[in-house]
Formats: sequence, structure tokens, C-alpha cells
Amino acid sequence: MNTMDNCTSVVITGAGCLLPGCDSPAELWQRALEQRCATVPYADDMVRSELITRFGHINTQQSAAALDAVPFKLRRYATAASQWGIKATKDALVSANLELASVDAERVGVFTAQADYCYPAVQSFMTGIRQQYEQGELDIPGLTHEFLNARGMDSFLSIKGLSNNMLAIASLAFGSRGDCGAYVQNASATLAALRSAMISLKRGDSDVALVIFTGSYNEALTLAELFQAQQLTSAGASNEFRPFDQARDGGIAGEGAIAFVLETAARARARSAPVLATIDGISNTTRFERDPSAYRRCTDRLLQSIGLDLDSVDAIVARGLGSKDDDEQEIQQLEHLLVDGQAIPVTCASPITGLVPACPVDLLLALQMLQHQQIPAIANLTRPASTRVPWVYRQPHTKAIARVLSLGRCYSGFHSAVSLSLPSFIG
Amino acid sequence: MSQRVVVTGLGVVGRLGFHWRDFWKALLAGESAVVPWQPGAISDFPVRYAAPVDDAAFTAAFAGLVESLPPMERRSRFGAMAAYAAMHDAGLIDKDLRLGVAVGSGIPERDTADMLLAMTDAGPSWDAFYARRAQLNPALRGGNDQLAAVIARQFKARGPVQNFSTACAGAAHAIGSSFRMIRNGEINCMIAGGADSVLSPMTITGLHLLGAPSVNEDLGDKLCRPFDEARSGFIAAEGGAFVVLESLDHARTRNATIYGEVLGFGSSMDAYRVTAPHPEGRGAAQSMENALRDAGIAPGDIDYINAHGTSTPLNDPAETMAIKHVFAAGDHYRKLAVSATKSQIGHWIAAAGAPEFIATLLAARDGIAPPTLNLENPDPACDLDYVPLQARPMKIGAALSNSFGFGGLNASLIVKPYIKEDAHEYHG
Repeated sequence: MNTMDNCTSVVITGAGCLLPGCDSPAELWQRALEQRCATVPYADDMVRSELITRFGHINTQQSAAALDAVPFKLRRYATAASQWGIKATKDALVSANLELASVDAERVGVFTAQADYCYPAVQSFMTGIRQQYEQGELDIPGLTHEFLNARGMDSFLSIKGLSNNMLAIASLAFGSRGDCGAYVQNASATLAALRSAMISLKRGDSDVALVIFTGSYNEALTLAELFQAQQLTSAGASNEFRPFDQARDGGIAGEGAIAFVLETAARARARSAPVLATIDGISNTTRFERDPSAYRRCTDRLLQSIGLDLDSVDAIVARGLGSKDDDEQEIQQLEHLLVDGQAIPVTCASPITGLVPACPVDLLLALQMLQHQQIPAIANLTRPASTRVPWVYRQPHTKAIARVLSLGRCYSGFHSAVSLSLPSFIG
Repeated sequence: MSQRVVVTGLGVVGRLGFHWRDFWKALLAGESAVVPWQPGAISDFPVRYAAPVDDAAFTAAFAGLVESLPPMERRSRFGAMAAYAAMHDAGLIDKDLRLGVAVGSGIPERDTADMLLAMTDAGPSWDAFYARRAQLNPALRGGNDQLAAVIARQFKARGPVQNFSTACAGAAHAIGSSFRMIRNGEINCMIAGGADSVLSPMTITGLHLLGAPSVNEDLGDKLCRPFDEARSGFIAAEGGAFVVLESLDHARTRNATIYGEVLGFGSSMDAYRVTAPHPEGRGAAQSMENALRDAGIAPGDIDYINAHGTSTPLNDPAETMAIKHVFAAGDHYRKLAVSATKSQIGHWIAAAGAPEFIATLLAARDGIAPPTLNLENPDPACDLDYVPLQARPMKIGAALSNSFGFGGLNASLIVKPYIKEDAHEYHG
């Protein structure tokens, strides 16, 4: 059965983003086509570094625009990542040609994915930490008193630190009172949010689902873990993000937000909505050991569930974490997936924006590929590390694209597959 | 085709016990986990009571297991052992099956000493932090989803691994989402629940600045009193609790012990304020209505509600109003027994929904409603039957458990006793 024709199939009717160098999906597409990476020298108001030299930053202008998008009374509660998410969601609603006021607030679901540690970072404790440092020794009771008596700590820290900040702020900003879910992880959070939104729509618990992804790697502990594990490129190395290239030496971390508006195909059709793509299905698995078959397992499960096989896939967007080891594993998984010689072109979005935690940049690129019927080349890929994978590099590839497979993996062993296809009707 | 979903394993780690039988026995006996407490070495912190896990008893209860845990946050240690206990209870240790994991988790622990590592004379420096990384507290190196990853690895879970963060509704969302996935036929077996601790100095300071925990010393260890006129805030607590959920067919095939059946899950958002629930419990009511609709049963079918019942001035009357609204038909709210397990165990924050779900399930199974402790003078705005002070035997056809979180995020779960011959079919 092809779920495209199933009236309970779920479609994407709107998309928005605030990503490094990209204020919209169209800008992401343009950058991808031109292989223009948006990573810049690492800069932080509070924290200096000579080791972390590049980053996919949300710049000052983007941050200001995001803050403007948040209702004034909510600004003091909202983390920067939540502000980005609100901006992306507003843009997604415009793209969906949807006035939320026209939908019963109890039928609007919100499902969010956030990266780890969106707020309680070094910066949050700065007042007290400076004082402690000047004293030369750590005095927890003294620090606690400082926070209590001088209110040196943001009194809304707990609210910001609760990783549902995105969900709470979104529900208030959009007046949504329906079904909800908030997930904190990396790639698996994005899939969990999508999965919950789809279940909610298919069961009729929601009429509209706002799916919001947001996160930043600009947090000392997280960066230290990634850097220590040699997953980030550094000064002295190539300082370029070259996934799947023989010269790859690590990724570049980033930050940002993406939002999708999801509806059932029937509802989208009824309101003549602009349908960007159908979500055919999603699948995931967790592999704790190296497993070349991980992508194959996800993909087979997904395609079997919708009655299709790999021949129905016209393009693949791979993850491309960029480190020696991670890419080696992913290449093996891609080779295993395409073992029967399928010439399905493979591209990758990660070098354009940097690795944006909890944000499915690859899915957003897949959406654009369906709309533009083109496959962008992988930026910075000049000498592919495998000749058995049909990479798209140097030049974009133009072909008829009805279905794109977006493959995901993250450091914890999580692997996923999401299939997007052209809608079977034009809204 | 919809699958029926049953509970086949229970695990609880908290001050009232390290096995679900001890936990349940203590609840029915009206025991309290609330004790005098101060965070760390601070002797004059305004919050003076909490419900901490007894560390020595915890280590003794899980001797031979707890030593093998990798360094992790305090809450995750409780969660890992609770998950183990649930899997052991379900007879699933070392069984080869496609297992999914769903965890409700809250504010990540941060160690101020770690923050200090970033400082240099010229201000904070990431390079300094990185250079001193060996001094990092190894227990806090993992991400917010560390517990989910540890459980997945421990049991070689190949299914979905999800980490929920809907504040105090996190564990309820984890259980509810697992229920939905099994019912939809996406997976046959999930371990779901949560673990949390807000007893580190920085976290409790943040909560105190919000005015959430009670600082009323006059009532001693009886200051956790949901629905009482003298209530003044929640009692911070910690612990971990997990349940094993299975499709009925899967459970029957392996002759599993079945504690009860999950009928429905509902969630909603208040969209009112970040720091306060809707005063009439609008979102809470909708969450319960969504769960009832999901279960395909009428409000009159519910006999017992395990309330969110935080003992805060705002929550308890709002939840009361919500219950009266949902169960208005035939004045059914007058017939309901409603109790607040937090009166006994305190507030486990992101994990709260898990021990309360277990209490709800066992109440339905055993036909007995656990009490609301310390309810001596009910607030006139709280005028339901809250099962004050003593547990009450009663027939429970179906029961509902509420969990409401900061930010106005709500979740409700409905369970019933498992009856083998039951022909109940879902309406989904």
C-alpha cells in the first residue's frame, strides 16, 4: 500500500528555519546549490577559544529578529534557542498559509525537539562564578547565598533550564492547547517529535501539528565532550567540514531551529493548502556496536511498512558527521544499503550549516530537493572516501525526484530513516 | 489493528522503598518520606524539608549492581536501578526482544565546580575549560538523555529510545507515548518511566527563587498537605520509577504476570502562563477529557483519581475545578475518590508521573485507594473526597492518574484492572 493515497497520510504544509546563514528554507537551498558554507569563526560574548575556531552561529541580526518574533511578555522566560524556534514556526505558518486563529486551539498540537543543555551553561552562572574565582576557592554555601540574597542568578533559570522551554513558550506564543510532547536528545529527539506529531494527526487527536526543532552546541561541556572524542575539526587541522572526503578531520558544530507545519492530507486538501511533501514513514534503530547494516535495517523496515522497495527512492540525504570514524561507519552503512548496485544519488547538508543539534537540516534539504527536482552537491567533497557510493559532488544533479530518503545517525548509536515524497495531489 | 496494552513489570526506587511491594505497602500504611533536610553543607537554607533517597539503603538494596554503573547523575543512578527492577520483575532480564525505552527527565544537574574550570584571569575561556577537562565531575559528563542511553545499552534495546522533557509531566508523557506506540503496533514492549532529583544546591535554589517548594517550618514533616488549607508549596524529592508495557498478545505468549491494563492517554497545554496553571484548570480538564476519549470510556466509568496534588496554593484548587468540570455529569465528581501520592513521597518533578502511575495501577488491581496524608482542614476551594489520612478499600473499575508540568503541560493516563476474559476493544 502506498500511503500517499491514504487519506490519513501526513503532509508537510509549511516549513521555516533559522539556521546559520539561512533565514529561510529557500536560503538554505540556495547555499546548498552554490556549496556556500555558512560556518564562521567561533565567537562568544562570554567564552573565548583558540581551539574551537569555527562554528555555525546564529548571528546578531538573526537573534534580534528571533527576539522580535517572541511576544514581549514571554521574552524573559525564553532561551535563545526557544526564540529561534518561535521565529522558525512563525515563518512555517506563513509558508503553510495558515492562520492559527482559524483552528480550534485545542486541536493544535505542539511537538518539540531540543538539544541538550540549552540554558544552564557557564554563561548562566557568570555572576557567582566570577565571584568564586576571585575568592580563589569554591564555597558552595557562599555561592548559594549569593544567588539567594543578591539574586545573582536569573530567577527564571529553572524555567529556562527545564528543557521543555521550547514547548512551553510555543504553546503560549501560539495559544495552542492541544496534544503535546517535548523531547531532549539529538537526532532521536527529532524523530520522536515527528513520530508523536504523526500519531496525533493520524489518530485525530490534532488537526494541525507544529513540530519545532531547536538547539545549540555552544555549551562548554557539550563542546568538550565532542572535541575530546575528535568529532570536531580544530585549529591546525583543515578547519573545513568535509564529510565523506578522504581529507575529512572532523565536523563543525552549529546551532539553529527548524519548524514544520504538519496536517493530514485530507485536511490539507480541504483547505487547499500548499502541500510541500508527504511523510511516507519513519523508522529507527539503535546499534551499540558498529553495524554496517543499521541503515539497511531502518530503510527496509520503513519501506516494507509502506509497501515499497529501495527502487522507489530517487535520492538519499546522508548525515555526514565529518569525523574519520563516524563517516567511515556511515560509508559502510551506505555501501551495505546500496549493495545491489542501486545508483541512488547521495548528498548531504551538514557542511552548509555545521552540525545543528536536534535540527533535521537533512530533512529540510530533502523537502527542497522534491520541490526543485534537483540534488545539490556535497560541499567541500573533492576526493570521496568511497567509490561505491554514488555521491553527488562538484556539480548539482538534476533528475526527476518523487521520493527522498533522509538518513540520520548520531553519536549515541541512534540511526533513522525518513521517507518524503511528492504529494499525490496538488493543493 | 489496535493492540491492547498491559503492564507486566514494576520498579520503584525512593525513600519509601526499593521494591514496588515495599513502596505500595508504605503508601497504604500512610507512611511519609518527608524528613528534615538541607542542601549540601548549607545549614540555613530556607527549604528545610525534603524526601531524599537514603543513600546507604539504596547502595545496600542494589549491592552487586549499583557498583557496575558508569559515572552518572544522581537521578540517573536511581533510574537505572528502577529500570532494572522493572525488567527483573517482568522476567525480561537477558531476554532477546525488540525493546523500546521512554524516559521522563528534568533539569540537568550542573556542578558549579565544573563551571569554575572555565574561568581565567581574563574571563571565561573554553580552552581553559577543555584543558582542565580531566577535573570535570565524571558523573555529570553525560547529556540529559544519559539515563535513556544507559537503559537502552543495559538491555540492548533496539527499538525507539526517547527522552521526554515536559517538566513534571515528563514520566507520564513517556508512559503515554509508549502506550500509543504499542497500541499502534509499532513495537511490542517498552520500558517507560522517569527519574529525577532536584536536591542539588543550585537546582533547589532555582526552584526556591520561583517560590515553588514549601518553606513553612511550623508544620514540621507534615508540611506536604495537598488540598489542605495550610498547604504552602511542594516538597522536593527524588527517585526513579519504571514500568514494563507490553501488547497483551506479547504478554500472553510468554505467560507474563499482568498488573493491569492501560486504556487511554491524553495530553494538553494550558497556554496560560509559564509559571502558573490556568486558575480553572482548563488544560488539566482537557487532558483528562482527551484521556477519556482515547480510552473510549465515559467519565462515570472512573472510580479513582490519583491527583497531581502538589500541595501548592495554585495547583490544588485548579485541579479540583478541572475534576468537577470533567466529571460534572450526574455529579459523578461526588462519587470519586481522589488522592495525592505526593503527600507521602513528595514531588519527584519530571519522574513524578511514574510512581503515581504505579500507585494508580495497584489501586485498581487491589481495589484500594491510597490516602492523602496531612489533610486535616480541607481548603473550602478543595471540596472533593480526597481519601484523607487513611487508605480506603473500594471497587475500582477504572482509574486515572494526572501529571501537570511547569509551562502548562499536562498528561493523564487511564488504567483498569486486567481481567482475562475482558472483551474490551479500543475505539482507535
